[in-house]
Amino acid sequence: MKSEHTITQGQLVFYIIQTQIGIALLSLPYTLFKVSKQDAWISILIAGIFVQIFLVIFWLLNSRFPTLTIYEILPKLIGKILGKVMVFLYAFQFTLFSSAVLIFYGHLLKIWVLENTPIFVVILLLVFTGVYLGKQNLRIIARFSVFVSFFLLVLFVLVALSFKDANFLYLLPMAKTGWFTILKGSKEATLAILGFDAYLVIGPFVQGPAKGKLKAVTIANLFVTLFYTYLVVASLAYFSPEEMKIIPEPILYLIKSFSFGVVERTDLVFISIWMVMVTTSFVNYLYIASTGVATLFGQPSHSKFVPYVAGVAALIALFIDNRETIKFFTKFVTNAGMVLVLFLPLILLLISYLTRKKETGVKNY
Amino acid sequence: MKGLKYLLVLLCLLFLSGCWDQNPLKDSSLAMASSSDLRSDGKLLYAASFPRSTQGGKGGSQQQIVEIVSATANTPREAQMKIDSKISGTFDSSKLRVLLIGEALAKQDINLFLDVLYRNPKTALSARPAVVEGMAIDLINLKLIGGEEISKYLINSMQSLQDLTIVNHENIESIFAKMLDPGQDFLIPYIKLDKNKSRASVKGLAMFHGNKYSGKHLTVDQSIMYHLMENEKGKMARFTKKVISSPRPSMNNYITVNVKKMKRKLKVEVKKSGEINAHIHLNLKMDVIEYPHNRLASKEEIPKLNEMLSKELTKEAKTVIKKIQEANCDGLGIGRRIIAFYPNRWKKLNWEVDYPKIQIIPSVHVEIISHGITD
Repeated sequence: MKSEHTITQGQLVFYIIQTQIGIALLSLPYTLFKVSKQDAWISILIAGIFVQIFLVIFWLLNSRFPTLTIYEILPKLIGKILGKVMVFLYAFQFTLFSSAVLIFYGHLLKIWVLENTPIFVVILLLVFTGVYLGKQNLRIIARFSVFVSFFLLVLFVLVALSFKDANFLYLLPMAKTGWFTILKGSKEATLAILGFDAYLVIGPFVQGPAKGKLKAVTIANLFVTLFYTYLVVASLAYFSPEEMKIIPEPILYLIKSFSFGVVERTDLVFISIWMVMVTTSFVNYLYIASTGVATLFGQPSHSKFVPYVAGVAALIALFIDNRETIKFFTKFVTNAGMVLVLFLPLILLLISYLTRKKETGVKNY
Repeated sequence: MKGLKYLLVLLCLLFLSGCWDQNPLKDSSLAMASSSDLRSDGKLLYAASFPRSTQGGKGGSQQQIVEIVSATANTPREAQMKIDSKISGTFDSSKLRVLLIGEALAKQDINLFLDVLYRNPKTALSARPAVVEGMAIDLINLKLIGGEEISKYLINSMQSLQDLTIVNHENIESIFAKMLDPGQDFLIPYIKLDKNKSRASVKGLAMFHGNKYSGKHLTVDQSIMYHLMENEKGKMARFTKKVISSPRPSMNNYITVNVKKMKRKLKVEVKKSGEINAHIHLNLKMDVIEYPHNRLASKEEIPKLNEMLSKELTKEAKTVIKKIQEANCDGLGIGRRIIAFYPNRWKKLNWEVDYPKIQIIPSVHVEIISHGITD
């Protein structure tokens, strides 16, 4: 393994954070509210607990195969042919995630900012940036994630301004929607929390002992869950319940209503920062997907495949162009993601335990 | 080779600066204030004020002029399109600061004509709504001294009234939340044109029920009291009350006090019988700012005044409560508290009918803590 392909544990934290926080950020309170009403914030906390469980599963899998990515583990555990099929499905799934990023990004900008700009221009601009960065090695991509994370502070502060007009009575009565509904609400958060699955692919490239890796992903998960909870609480307290129902991007709407004399539309400031978050999500997925394709073709480097993967993602994104198809696509991607990304690793782990297959001869450093 | 690379980057810059969505100021006309009225035939009379600066003759000095353009249409958007054809440049509401609503229109569902503002990402949600007695277009057409633009005049006057706790800081975003919430209502400034139509003045707060103006408004003094009960205070909150009963009308009989510090307690309780009681307790620490009677040095005077003021202000508070209940305007958000703390009781309530019937009991306790630099 070449040294520039490894990243530190600190970088892992930010890589996961940046992959998770992206497109769904703006609409998260709305999607959750539709199901679990004023208890949406409990839903996201519960979702965080689920993520932690899955992260532990990923980590256990990774500890049994310390230097192998999910793409390399698959053929070992379920046979060559089936393994290859699954690798393809995984890579395709991650490509779909990157198209999802493109679609949401393109349509949001279209509605909120660039009303007259053709959507393909907006999407292609992100694709070019994505390819440029995605072709680099993992270390550079991870460094970018670290750098960009400082912007989260700005988002934090901008949203904090809403608390002066907040009415926390909107959050009451607490836990009255029923625990089943709250759990169902957690499922709605899938699109927002997906991204921690990146660990399946980049896990083996992280330096240091296995325990430290678990600590790193836990920190990342804790951060993202708390950050999301903060956003959900802020919008729940700012908008009345009836209003929440009709505002699909509450975080933006909330920020739009502030004005600081000179800056009338604060939401534009927010969007430009959010665009960077989206770029990292896109690049990180692009890297993961093209690594899969590279494994499929038995190539050592992912760089060559980045443009193709990005091209497929862009094509899919350009075909899906109205609210209804977007809804359908989102549903498809999240459900497929649930199966592939969440439950398959669990099955793999079980197979690995049952067949006692694990990577031998490598020092678990 | 390297030079070519840089050249390419420079070329990119040329192409990357998208021009589809550029929105130059010179091509747009910024509406600063708008007025909406309901005509007797059910159509909407919409007007907007556009401040423009023109190059003066030889001196070259800038001159401010204000253009008011109106149109009649079925919806605000249609009216804006009609106005668009009458003005130079495109209609741009992104700097809108004041939204004037005529009385007749306010009594209809105002959400219908506000929709265009909420739907458009370019709207300034910080614009302030106000109800105008009679026709709002008369107010926007007001010729002010020095050619001042109407939105500037109104915003300045509202700002100073906000300091005096007469006007609240509701904007079109904040009323949206309350409009849609079943357990809350909002109040917005009520503006009246003077008889000779040369000035406008804020006469208090217009009480809304859901998305409709109830047709009633609080007076200026009642608005101050209402805000105190809502736990909101500007820089000052002043009351002038009669404390000495003498047969002769005289300035001597009155005292003016300013609220220095305040504490509000609002408790909503649902009794076992299902009866709903709300207690509002106000604890006001006051400063005497005018009292020609001049007897504040004596020991008995201040407790006596405290008691009298407490009584007077409790009376005032009761009037306010009576008025908002009559208007069916739950401005204090009592319904919201029932939803929050007694969700089961709420389900059985029909707030539309039940709100005016509940018991809201205010009590005001006054304590004079200072009286300026004289006794």
